[in-house]
Amino acid sequence: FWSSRCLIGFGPGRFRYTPPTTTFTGITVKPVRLVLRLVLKSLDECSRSAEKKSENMARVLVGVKRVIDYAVKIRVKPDRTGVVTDGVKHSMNPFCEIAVEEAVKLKEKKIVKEVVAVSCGPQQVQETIRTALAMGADRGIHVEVSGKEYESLGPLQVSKIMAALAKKEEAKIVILGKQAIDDDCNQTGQMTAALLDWPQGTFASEVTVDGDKLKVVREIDGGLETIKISLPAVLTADLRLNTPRYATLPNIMKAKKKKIANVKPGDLGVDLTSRVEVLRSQQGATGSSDAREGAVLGRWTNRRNGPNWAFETVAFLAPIPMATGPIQNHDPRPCCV
Amino acid sequence: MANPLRGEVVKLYKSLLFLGREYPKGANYFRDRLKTAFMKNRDETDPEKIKQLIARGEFVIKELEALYYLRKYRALKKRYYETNE
Repeated sequence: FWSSRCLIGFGPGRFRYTPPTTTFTGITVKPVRLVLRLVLKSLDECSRSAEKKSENMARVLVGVKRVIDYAVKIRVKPDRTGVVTDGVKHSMNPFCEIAVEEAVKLKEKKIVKEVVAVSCGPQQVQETIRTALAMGADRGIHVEVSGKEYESLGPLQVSKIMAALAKKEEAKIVILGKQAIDDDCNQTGQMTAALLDWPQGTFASEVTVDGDKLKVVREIDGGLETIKISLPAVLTADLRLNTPRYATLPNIMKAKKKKIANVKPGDLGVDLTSRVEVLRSQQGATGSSDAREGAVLGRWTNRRNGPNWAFETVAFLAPIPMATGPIQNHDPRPCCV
Repeated sequence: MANPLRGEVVKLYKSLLFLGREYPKGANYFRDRLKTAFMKNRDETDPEKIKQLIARGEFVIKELEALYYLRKYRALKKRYYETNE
């Protein structure tokens, strides 16, 4: 029935059309439908080919960590099992802020299309993701880890999660902070690159795009090193990479509309069992380094947080290669785990 | 009346209050100073003067952001990087 009354076009012109006589119905409708189908198909093809040709399909994954604020004095818990975290001011790890800023800068230069902020932890981690969104990320992913699992969450588990997410989101670049100021591990970026088998530009103090490769200037002992790595790649942000912007109130308000997806580590197929168990924590005295007792190794935590820092004694549950060498008091990169 | 600018002034006050949470001398100290500073100019009606005061407020916002950034940068540099002096 509708075939004899089909409307060609919309708007005022539609009433000018006179429906064809029934003898021609079969012939007149088919061409209209055919034309419509052809038009839609060509539009679809156009958009798809545009997507393929566009180089802005790149997506950046940025990992952020919620840590105790850098200006807070650390206190060890009375039962010496860790550091007091309840009621203590937390904020985003400063190196993670630099990582987010770098990702947003890449988006502003139109090198990447989308910035995704990822964080692992309990519900409170969402405020850290919101800060990243306020700084310019497009959407967030909250990997829910809570309780016991969160306390034992270390670089290996986080890097497994980041690797799984990078594959799932088809990210071209993964940017992380070089280390967290609470555990000073400096391992997550390197482990993520190893798990993904991607090249890594760690301690980056300058990142430029050179064709389809990245030119990274790294800060190493004794100077700067420039390397060229192909995409996809993992970058680790050092202090002098950029100046992170402050998440002002209007930006935070705008960020409330952005989405944060909830993901469980089980969905990503990641096993969170830790091979490290914290035995005890103690308030550090300056200049004590008698840590080694067979398979038990001392580990500095929150060490760089001013004169008060904590010293964790940690046992390994499975045999793993240990970095050997004298423990130096002032080594900024701890040589264990 | 300065009604169209009233929204701007309130927005400025809120932004400054938000920034003041991290003030090194304490959020309360900052909030008291902020309130007295705003109350001092409450009877301004000239739109030009109000715009100037708003510009001054925005300058203070930029100064605070720079202060926070420098504080953080200097603290991290001291902790993680050896000084050659």
